[in-house]
Amino acid sequence: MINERKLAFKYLCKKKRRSLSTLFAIALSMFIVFVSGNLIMGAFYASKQAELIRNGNHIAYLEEMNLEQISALEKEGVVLCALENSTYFMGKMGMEDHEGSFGFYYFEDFSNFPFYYEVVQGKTPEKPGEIMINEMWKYFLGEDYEIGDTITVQLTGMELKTEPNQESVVTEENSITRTYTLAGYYRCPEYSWIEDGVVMVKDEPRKEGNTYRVYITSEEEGIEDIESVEGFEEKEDWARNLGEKYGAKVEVNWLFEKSQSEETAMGYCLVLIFAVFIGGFAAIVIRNSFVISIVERTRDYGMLRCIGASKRQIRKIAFYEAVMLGIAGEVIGLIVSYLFLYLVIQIGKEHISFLEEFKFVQRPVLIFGICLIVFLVVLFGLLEPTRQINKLNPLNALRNQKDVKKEKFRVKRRRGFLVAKLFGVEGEYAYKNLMRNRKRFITTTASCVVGVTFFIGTNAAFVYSEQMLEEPGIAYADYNAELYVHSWCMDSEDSLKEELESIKGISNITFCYQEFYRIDNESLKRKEDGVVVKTNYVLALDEGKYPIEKESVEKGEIGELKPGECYVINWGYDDEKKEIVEISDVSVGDKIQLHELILAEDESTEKTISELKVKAVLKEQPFANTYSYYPVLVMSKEGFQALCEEQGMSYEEYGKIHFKMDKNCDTSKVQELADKYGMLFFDEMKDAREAAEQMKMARLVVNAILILVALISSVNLFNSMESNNILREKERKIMRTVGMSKKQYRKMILLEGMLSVIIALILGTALGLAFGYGIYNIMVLTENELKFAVPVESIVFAGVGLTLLTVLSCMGGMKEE
Amino acid sequence: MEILKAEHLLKVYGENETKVVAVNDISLTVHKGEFVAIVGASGSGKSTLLHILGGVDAPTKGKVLIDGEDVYSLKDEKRSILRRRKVGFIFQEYNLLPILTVEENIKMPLSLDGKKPEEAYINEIIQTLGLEDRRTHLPNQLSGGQQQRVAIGRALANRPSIIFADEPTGNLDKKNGYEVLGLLKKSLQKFSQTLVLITHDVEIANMADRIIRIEDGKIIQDEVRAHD
Repeated sequence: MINERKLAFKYLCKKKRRSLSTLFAIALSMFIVFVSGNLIMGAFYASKQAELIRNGNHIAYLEEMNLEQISALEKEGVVLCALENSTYFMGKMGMEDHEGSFGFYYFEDFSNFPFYYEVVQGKTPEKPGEIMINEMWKYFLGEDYEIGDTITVQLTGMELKTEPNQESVVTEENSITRTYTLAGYYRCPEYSWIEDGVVMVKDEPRKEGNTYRVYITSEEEGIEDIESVEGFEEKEDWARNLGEKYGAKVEVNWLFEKSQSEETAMGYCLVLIFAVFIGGFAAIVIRNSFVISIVERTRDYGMLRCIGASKRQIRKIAFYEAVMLGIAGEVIGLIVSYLFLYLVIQIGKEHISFLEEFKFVQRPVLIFGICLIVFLVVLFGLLEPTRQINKLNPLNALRNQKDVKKEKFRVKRRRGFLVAKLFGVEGEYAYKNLMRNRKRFITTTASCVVGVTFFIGTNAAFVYSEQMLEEPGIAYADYNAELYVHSWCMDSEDSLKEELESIKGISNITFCYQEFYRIDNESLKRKEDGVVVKTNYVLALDEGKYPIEKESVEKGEIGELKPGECYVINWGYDDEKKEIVEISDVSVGDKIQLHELILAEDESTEKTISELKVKAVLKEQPFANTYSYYPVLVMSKEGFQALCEEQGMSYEEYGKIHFKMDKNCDTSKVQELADKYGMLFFDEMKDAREAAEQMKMARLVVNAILILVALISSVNLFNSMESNNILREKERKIMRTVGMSKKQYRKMILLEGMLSVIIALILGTALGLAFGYGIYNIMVLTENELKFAVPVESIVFAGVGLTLLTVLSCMGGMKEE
Repeated sequence: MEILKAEHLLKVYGENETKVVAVNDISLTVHKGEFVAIVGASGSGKSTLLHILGGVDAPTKGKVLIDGEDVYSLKDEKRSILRRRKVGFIFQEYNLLPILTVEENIKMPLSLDGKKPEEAYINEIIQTLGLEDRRTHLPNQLSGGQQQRVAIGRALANRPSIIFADEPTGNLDKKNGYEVLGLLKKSLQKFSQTLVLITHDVEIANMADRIIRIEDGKIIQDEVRAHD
């Protein structure tokens, strides 16, 4: 039996191309919203997950808990992640008495440790007295230490506890020496609280009278996935109530604070706003598709009304069509989105750092929420068609002449002389046809203008941003990487250089030495304000190996540097009084007094050392340093060697290798070499590369969204062209009868579409450039010499893309007739 | 038995200078089983009268009773139900749904009413109209005459009280026109239906039991014919 559902299905099957184009628009909207929603929430959860790793999966910690309280907590069923007793002090560690500040963290157990770390060598401490050291210290401790060795730690200098529950004050005179067994080295993710200078010690069993910081969680296995965490309010309240109950100070891990619910809600709000924006676009397209369907079936509906179908029944037919298309579109969109995200994440993970931590969000609220929004969009698209059905008069519908009558009056008054001159009679007809429904013409053109404006504007901003990242000194520096070399590997300088040279993409390898000293500005006898420059970067070059260009010499002459001679780099910097101090007025032959740089703040302990005579003043920093805000002195290797000897230091300790890595350089090989020789590797390009990658990614995402939106719009264009054909079928026949060729007819239809596009491209390019220039003006506040660049490629792409879409839509719209 | 009763029907289009009185104070009654032909020149108001009688175009004044029910006092929804149950329409341009097969088009009024079609009755209609081998064909696969036969079938499907036909042979050649009308008449007799038909063709009008002539929206002659 035929009912509304079957009729709807038959109508959908009858007009396959329109059904498919509407289905395409719905599926595409679903795809855009779902993928974007997943990207937004995925990035949101990924950043939270990374924070969870860095901050630990405990919900809170309670301070100063004694054994009685801890036991009561356990009886309540609270999961204790760790009992910590930490201290922080200045001290010396290892055989070579490496000095530094480090924190000691005493833990009862490492099995449910609340922070993330990786053991890179050895194992976690299992017995009391075993120590696990941050791998950063491995570099300072040197190769002589092996797992299982005893390590001596001398605690000195700061008024802090030095072991659990010890109240003693450790000073220089009152230093304490302790020994531990080295169990292993660990590594932590970036920005983790235990990133630097921290050692973790297996504590002795719980002692009566001790107090501990107790890390707690409400989950048996701990919290591993932030996405699965619900009810932040309850978690925070739970932790605070426990603290109140035991009279302990509570610190709630910020990831589990109540405010996180709001942040999550904000993330979903962002998705909602985006969904509504895309949904709005899709609703217009879907509405037009349905309106055209109704126009096409006016006679059918009229007949149905005559033989007794009620308005409700007719509405139901349209409703079922929408439901069928909506469900099918959503299912297709969802499947394609899943496949796309799966492929992007799987493949992209290896190439795009942004995706490494990306999480595929499968929360029902996101999936069903987006499905609901898209479905509502489909129903919203049905509003106007339903209104038209309600207004449908069976007799007029049967005669199908209402629209024709309405049009007559408007056409008379409009002429298109200019268009006629440019494109001939077909252009004139096209223009007049467009003017029949001015509202539709303006809407189509306006939507194209908005699209082109955004496309060109955002691309102009991206082009400029990319240029900023490629600014000289960042991307094109002569030197963009350094290796901190050990004294023991300086003996094998030649083989090290050879191995480095064998790595593809490395050039400009230069060995040098560096250390910080103080320069007493008074010694220049040219400054009267008596400002003392606190720290200065003294750089010793293996002479002749660093190519100083003659152009960079401001005063004096470059040549062989003798011990006691130096170059001064003209460099302004902020001194303590926040005044700009420059040593640019240093003259050749001036003497600079150096002071030994020591950690003590007391200036009276400064030791005066050699004077250096200025041989030349240079304009630029060596090695294209952009990060150093201190004046730099350059001397010969021998000069530096003498300087170190004077202070009883070994110059090899301060060795560095500067070199340039190009885009093709495999940095992992450099890291391998660094690991082999126990060197520290600093890749100054890393941030710039990551920033460039993120920029490219952002550009790709924005352009992809704009192109997808344009595709949805093309369905609209296709529908408009098709409806024009349907409404003007009689006119077409008349035109053909009186002699219009098929070619002329095609040209006319094509021009109808292209007139909107031409106007949109002219207006959109102008507005897009203005928009891009506006962004440039905001960004240009940060000092640089980059000029605004016209995104020619994007303009060409917009022009070609839009023309292509229009031609295809026009041809598609024509073909069916 | 009165099936259709129209009282003082008036239909006015436009206002002032453009005012056109399409139907001017027409009253008539049609009895069950009657075959009434409405004839008149173009623009005489016969189509308007038919549409008013059929419940698709409300009169400016007057009322129409089908089976004793005042059609225009009903709300749109109820009027639709009345049309689907008590009225059958046959149009000059067939107006079949292009997406439905012959059989589906015939069953359409029943489907709209949510009724399960009485297969034997539908088969009988299809057989009577000579459409057995066209059951699964779509309208665009049929000739004009065949399409009009489907339209007749559709009008009969719901066993309506009255059928209104608006120049059903207007788009057909003479041979096909007579053939279709013959079938229509045969069907009427077989299924005891009442028919109000509009036509230009005198010969077709002569086949009716009663001929109503209209001029300028008024009945100028109502002639009951006796057939041998």
